[in-house]
Amino acid sequence: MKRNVDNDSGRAVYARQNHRKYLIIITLILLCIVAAVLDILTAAASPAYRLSTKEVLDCLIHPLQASSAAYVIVIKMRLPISIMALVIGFSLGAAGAVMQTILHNPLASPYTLGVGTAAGFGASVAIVLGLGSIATSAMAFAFAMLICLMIYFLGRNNVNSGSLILSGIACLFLFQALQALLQYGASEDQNQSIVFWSFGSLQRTDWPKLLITVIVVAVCVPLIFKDSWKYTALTMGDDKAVSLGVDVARLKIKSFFLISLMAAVSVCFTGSIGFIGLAGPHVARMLVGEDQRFYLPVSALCGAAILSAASVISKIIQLGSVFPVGIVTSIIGVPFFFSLVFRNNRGGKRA
Amino acid sequence: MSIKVKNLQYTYPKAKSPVIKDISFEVPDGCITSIIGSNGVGKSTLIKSMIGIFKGIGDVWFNDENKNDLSHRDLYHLIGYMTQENALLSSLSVLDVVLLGRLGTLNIRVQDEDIEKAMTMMKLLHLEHLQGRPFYALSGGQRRMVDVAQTLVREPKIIIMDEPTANLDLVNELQVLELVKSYTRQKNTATLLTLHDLNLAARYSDHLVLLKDGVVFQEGTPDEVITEENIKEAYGVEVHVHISSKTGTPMVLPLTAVNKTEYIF
Repeated sequence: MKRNVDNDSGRAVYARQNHRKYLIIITLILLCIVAAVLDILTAAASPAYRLSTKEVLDCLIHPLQASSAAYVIVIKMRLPISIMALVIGFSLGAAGAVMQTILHNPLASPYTLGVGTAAGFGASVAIVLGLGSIATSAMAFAFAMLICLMIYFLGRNNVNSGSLILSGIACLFLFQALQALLQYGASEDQNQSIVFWSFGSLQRTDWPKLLITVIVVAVCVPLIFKDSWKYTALTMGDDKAVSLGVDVARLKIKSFFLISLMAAVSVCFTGSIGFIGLAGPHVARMLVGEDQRFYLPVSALCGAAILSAASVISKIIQLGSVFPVGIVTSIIGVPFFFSLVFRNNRGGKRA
Repeated sequence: MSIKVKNLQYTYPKAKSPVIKDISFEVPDGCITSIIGSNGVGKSTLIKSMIGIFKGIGDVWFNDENKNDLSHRDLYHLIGYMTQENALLSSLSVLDVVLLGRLGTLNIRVQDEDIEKAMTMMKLLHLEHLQGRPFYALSGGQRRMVDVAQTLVREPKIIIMDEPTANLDLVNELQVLELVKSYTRQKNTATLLTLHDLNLAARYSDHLVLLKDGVVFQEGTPDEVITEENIKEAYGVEVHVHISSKTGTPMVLPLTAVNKTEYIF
C-alpha cells in the first residue's frame, strides 16, 4: 500500500452528498408544523361553534385565560386530534418503512398485511359483546398484535422470501372472513358501530389516548433509528448484511416486534387508517433513496404530514361534519399505489 | 491470527449425505491459502460452515479462539468476509456502500475516520471517481471491486473471500489479488480465498487446499498440489502443467475432459 492519498476532502465530499437530504428533513418538519396548525384552525363544527383564527391562536398561547368554550374546543378537542394525526402518521410511516426494508418489498405495510383488518375484528368482537370503549381499544390492540405474531410465526422459516408477505395476506383474508361472520350475526345497531369504528377516525382522540400512543412511539422509534446502518446493510440483501456483521435474524425479530407494537397502538384508538404506511416509505424512497438514516425519518415525517393534511381535508370536504380520515387517506393512497405498480412494471430500479 | 479447522462436516437440510465431510486444515498468519476444486464440490459451503452461517459439526478456531466462544459481533469484527452472492441493486452511493464495511464503528453521524478510511481504500482500488455514483449503476466487475473495498476497509485481522475475482477483467483480477497479498503480508493476516482460476490460485497462494467429493484431496504448496495427476483426479480434465519461467509458479493448460462428450447436432 504505497500509494499516498490525501484525505482532506473526505468529510466535505460526504457532506455534499447528504446536504440535500438534511434540507428535505427540515422542510418536512416545517410542513408537519404547518399542517398541524391548519388542522387546529380548521373547524368541522357548525358555524355556531366557530372560533376565529385569532381566538384559536390566543387560546393556544394563553390557554388559562381563554373562555371555557374556546378552551374545550381547542385544548380538549382539536389539539389532541391534531397531535394524534402527526404521531400516528409518524408511527405508521416509520413502521411501513421498516417493514419494507426487512421484507425487501415496497408493497409491504402494516395495512396491506392486515394489521388494520385484525384490529377491526378485535374491536368488532368487543362491540358485539357490548364492552366499553376502553375494552374496544384493548381488543383492537390485542388482535393487531396477534396477527403480527401469526404472520411472523407462519413465515419465519423463510423470512427472506415472500412467505412473510403471503402469510400476511392469508391472515388478512382469515380476519376478513371472521369479520363477515361476526357482522352476519350482529344486530343492526352493533353493525352500525362496527362500520363506524372501521372507517378510521381521529375524532375519538383524547389526551389519555394520545399520551399512550406518544409513549409507545417515543420508546419504539429511537430503538429503530439506532439501527439505521444495520437496516441500510439489509437493503443490500440478507446475505450481504450477514457478511457485514449484522445478526439478520435477530434484527428482523426485534424490528417486527417494534413495528407491530407501533402499528397496533396506532390502529387501536383510531381504527384502520390505510396507505400511510405505504405512501410514506414510497415518497421517502423517491426523496432520499435508501440510506436508512434519512429514509426512516423522512418516511415517518411524510406519514405525519400526509395524515395531518388528510385530517384537514376530512374536515373541509363536507361542512359541519368530519369525514372519516381513513377514507381520505385511502383515496389519497390509490394514486400512490398505482405509481408503485407502474414503476415496477417499467422494470426500473426504485429511485 | 491463524485459522484452524478440525473435522468440519456439514449436511444440507433434508440431504442424505454431507456436502463436506471431515475437513481439517490450517491457515497460518501472513499467508494466503486458497481453496480450489470443481464446481459444487463445497468450497462456499465450507466457508459458510466455518463462520457459522451454516451450522456444521466440528471445530473452528480463529486466532486461537473457538468460534463457538465468540459473539456474533466479535466474530465479524475479527473477520473480513466477502460473499460470493451479489448484493441487491441498491441506490446507495458507492461511498456509502464502502462505508458499510465499517458497520461496527459507524455512528448516525459518520466519523471523519470512517470516511477517510473508506476514501483511502477506494483510491487504492482506483474507485474514487465512482464514489458518488449509485451502486446499481455500476458494472458487475465494478461492483465486485466495491465489495473488495468494503471487505478490507474494516481492517480485518482475518480475511475470508469467496471468489474475489469473479466477474473481474485481467487488470482488476491482478489488482485485487496484489492488494490482498500486500495486505496479508503487511498486516500479517490469515487469508483464505476460494478461487476458480487455477493459474491465479497457483501464483498468489502460499498454500492450496484441493477439495474433491467433500474431503481434502490434496494440500500443500502450489507446486505440490497443481500436478497433472491431481487436477485430472479432482476435475476430470487432462491438463498440461508447466512451471512458468516468468512467475515461477505452475501453469495449467487444459487439454480434454476425461469423460469427453460427443456433441452431435
